[in-house]
Amino acid sequence: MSRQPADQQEILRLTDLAVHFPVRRGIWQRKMGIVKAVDGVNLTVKRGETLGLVGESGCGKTTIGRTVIRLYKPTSGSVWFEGKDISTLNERELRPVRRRMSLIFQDPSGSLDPRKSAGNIVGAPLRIHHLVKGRKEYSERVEQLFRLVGLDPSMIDRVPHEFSGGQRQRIGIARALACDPSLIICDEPVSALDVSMQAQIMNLLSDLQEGLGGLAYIFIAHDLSVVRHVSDRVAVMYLGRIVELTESAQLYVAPKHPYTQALLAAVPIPDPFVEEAREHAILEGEIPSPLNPPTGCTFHPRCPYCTAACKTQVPELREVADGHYVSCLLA
Amino acid sequence: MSEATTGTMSGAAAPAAAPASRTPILEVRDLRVQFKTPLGTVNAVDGVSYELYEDEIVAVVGESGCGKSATQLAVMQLLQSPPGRIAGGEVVFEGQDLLKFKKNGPEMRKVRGGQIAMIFQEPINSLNPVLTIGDQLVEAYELHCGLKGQTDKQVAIDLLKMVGIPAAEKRVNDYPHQFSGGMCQRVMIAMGLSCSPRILIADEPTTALDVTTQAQMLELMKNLVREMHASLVIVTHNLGVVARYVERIYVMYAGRVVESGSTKDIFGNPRHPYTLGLLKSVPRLDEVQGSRLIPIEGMPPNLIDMPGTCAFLPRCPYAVEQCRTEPWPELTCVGEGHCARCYVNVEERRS
Amino acid sequence: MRFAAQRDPLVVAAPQHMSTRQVAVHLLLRKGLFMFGAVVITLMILMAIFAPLLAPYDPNAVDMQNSLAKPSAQHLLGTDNLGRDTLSRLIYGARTSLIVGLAAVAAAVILGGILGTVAGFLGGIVQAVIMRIVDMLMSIPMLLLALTLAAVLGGGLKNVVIAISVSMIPPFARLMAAQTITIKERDFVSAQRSMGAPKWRTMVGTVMPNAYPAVLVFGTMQIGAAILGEAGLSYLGIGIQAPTAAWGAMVSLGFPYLVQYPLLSIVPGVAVMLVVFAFNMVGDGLRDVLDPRLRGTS
Repeated sequence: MSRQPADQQEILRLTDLAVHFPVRRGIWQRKMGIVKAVDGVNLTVKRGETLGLVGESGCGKTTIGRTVIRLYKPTSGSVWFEGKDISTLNERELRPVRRRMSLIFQDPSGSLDPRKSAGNIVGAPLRIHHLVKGRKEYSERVEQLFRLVGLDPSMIDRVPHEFSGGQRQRIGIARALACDPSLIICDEPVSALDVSMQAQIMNLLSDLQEGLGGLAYIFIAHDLSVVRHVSDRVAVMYLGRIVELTESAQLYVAPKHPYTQALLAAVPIPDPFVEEAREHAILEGEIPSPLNPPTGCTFHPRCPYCTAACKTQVPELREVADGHYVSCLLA
Repeated sequence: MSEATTGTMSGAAAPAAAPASRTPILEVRDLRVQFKTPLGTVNAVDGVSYELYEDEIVAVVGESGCGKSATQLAVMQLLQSPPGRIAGGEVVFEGQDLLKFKKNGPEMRKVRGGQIAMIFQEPINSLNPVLTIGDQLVEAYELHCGLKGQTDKQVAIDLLKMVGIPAAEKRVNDYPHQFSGGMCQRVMIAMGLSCSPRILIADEPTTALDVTTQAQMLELMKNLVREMHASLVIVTHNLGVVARYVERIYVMYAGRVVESGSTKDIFGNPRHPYTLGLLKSVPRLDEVQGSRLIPIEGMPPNLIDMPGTCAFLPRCPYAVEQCRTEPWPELTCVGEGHCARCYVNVEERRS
Repeated sequence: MRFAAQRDPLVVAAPQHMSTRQVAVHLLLRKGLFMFGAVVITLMILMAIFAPLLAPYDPNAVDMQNSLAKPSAQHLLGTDNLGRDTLSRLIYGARTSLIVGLAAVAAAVILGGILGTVAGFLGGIVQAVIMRIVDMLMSIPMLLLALTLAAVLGGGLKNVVIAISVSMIPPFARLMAAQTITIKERDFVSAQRSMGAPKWRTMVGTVMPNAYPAVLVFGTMQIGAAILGEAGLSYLGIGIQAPTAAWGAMVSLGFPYLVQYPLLSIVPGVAVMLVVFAFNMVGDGLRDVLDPRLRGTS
């Protein structure tokens, strides 16, 4: 993956982004509470870079991805994309925005219409945005997209279930590339795939980024080794907040937040010789209910270094070293 | 586990003499499982042999469709039938061939749950949503231990405490939906181990769980199994889990064991190109920044109409002429307890 | 690009690749009951089309000399109380049954389908209003609703079709709304939105095609029910008017003679039964085959 993007220009900026979902129960759909899926997130993505979002289920990483492409509406805060605040646009105003960014889903079968041919699926964005003139140009472009993601164009007329999981994810990627976007949100793009397919798809994504200058990714995954492999910078999330944000090289070498440390310790390295020497500190407890998050630092009930201040004081995300942000009172 | 305790193998199916002090508690010989599909018969498990010794942790590793789960379900006689069918082989547990028992007969029911327990990937699906956790634990305990109506809630509370569920006295009256995924998996482990089985089979036990929960769960299983002197079979595709917790490995591909050996042999000196490919295709947390993965190109084979030649041949970068003309090689031992199904000496070819 | 030159692995893996449609046909042909149903329906359609050629007599020709005749070489299935040839009336009756079945279900599918899709897709107040009306209609038994409508509108083929189709709208609307709500939550609909596709385009181009298999299956089975409904209305005397041949009316006509001459009711009754069964079997077969996941073993 390109380590030094040619153009360091900022493409996406999230400022104090919050996305809250009301929880309704019963026949009268009474509001029982609020889940703060994303609660005050600040992030930037530069042109051509890959930003990794990692965290365990319920940490809000998927919500951020879907809010960036405005499948969800932010409760507060704003989403600046290519210099424009898109957080309050309506569906019609969003159409040109959605030409410039696209989404790759976790479940390659669920995100492809089972009744449409692969070619039809890949070409859909072209038709929606009227990007090609005439049949010939259209089919040429679809074939070109097929080749770009390593699919044989002779399979254009097949329906999704006739493809393997890895190939289906390639179809999803081809569709995401159709409009030449500047940002692709990859929401767990490899976690539903087999090990040998994961590597193919991860390599494809980095090849594409190299080949198509300036393409940025937000790479969302729960697997820290996968995220670290593809990302230039990684943001670790816990209960709707970013707890640590740094270059991916720094993350493994010098993790600052206790949660990041615990997460790293929990991920086994596929090498028994290394594992033998590693310390296996196990993080106790479970992620608290987002309906009723802990006070102060939300990680404090599980934190081995918890102090009295942690229980009451909400830590800010602070820059502790060059480009290394941590939200911990002790850091 | 020391090198000496892992069995050695010679030739294909029959495991050769293990160290005299130890006989395997479970021996699977030439197991075959077929699935009938509208498009033809799938040989999901095609002559798998393995053995399990007392007190050891073994992994069966492979990608989806390689037959790793079907093998375990066949051992437990839990295959959905139809479409599944055990087409041959033996499963010898404590001197008896389990496959000779009737699927739901009294002998098999005694073994299943009582002596060999199994836990599954989706814990929430394995629990009955309308019964309390306590009731289900008591039921499982009585069923597995052959007791009837002699136990009370205290058993369930003790079991919950055993698997580290806080406030067990209160939570015993909860329903499954009030438990998180990790808690449900703990309950499943409690059920599985309620009667001190000899063997616990965990089929992708942590795939649906978060990393920190996964680590908790594996640590718990490992400790409990050690305490009970039981053996643990982990069925997984996660090589990291294998490297951290397991002593011996069976790597499966297209319904067969392609390589087996101690964890260090498999990781340090892989002898089958598929094993090697798997190891090179996973990102590592400690890798050098910017390194590239080397994926296994192509796709797993279609298990209907399998060619007689090596099933990995179309994806194999080390293939030689012999691979194209001769049938799939037998599992041959290349070292102490380290066997692979390949004509090529991968180690030599790599250098 | 590195992957550009990759071979097509699926083709390598399965040399005799079958397309989706081929697999579907292949599977259907192997289903005995589906084939039985399909044959019965085909025969019935042919019978309806070629009724004038097949029927030995004019179905309405009265021959009082020969009333209530037993089956014989002249009248293979005997005659009714007015001496009309039962076989000929049975053949012509197929026309009525088919027209009622197909027309009523088609109308119900279109109207119910639109109502259901709009309700499910738009949600909110629109859904609440449409679905509560549908629920109200649904709480009235189908035959009772048809009966009331038929009583208001009068008998005759057209009114029977209207009555039956109106009574069938609620189940179709419910089914379609449920389908739409499920499909709406799927990732490929989110994908449409994320690409910037307008709502109507997603509704017509993505949601409807994915809901249609369920509706097709249910509709096929409902054709049987519609034919049964026509038979019921005609039996009660507010359906197809005499002398038009219709199976329900024929059963009703045979009723007074059930003891001494049971054949008069049994013959059309068996015909109705057979056709309803046939449509159900075809619907069953279609359901199995239209689900693409059922074939996903390879």
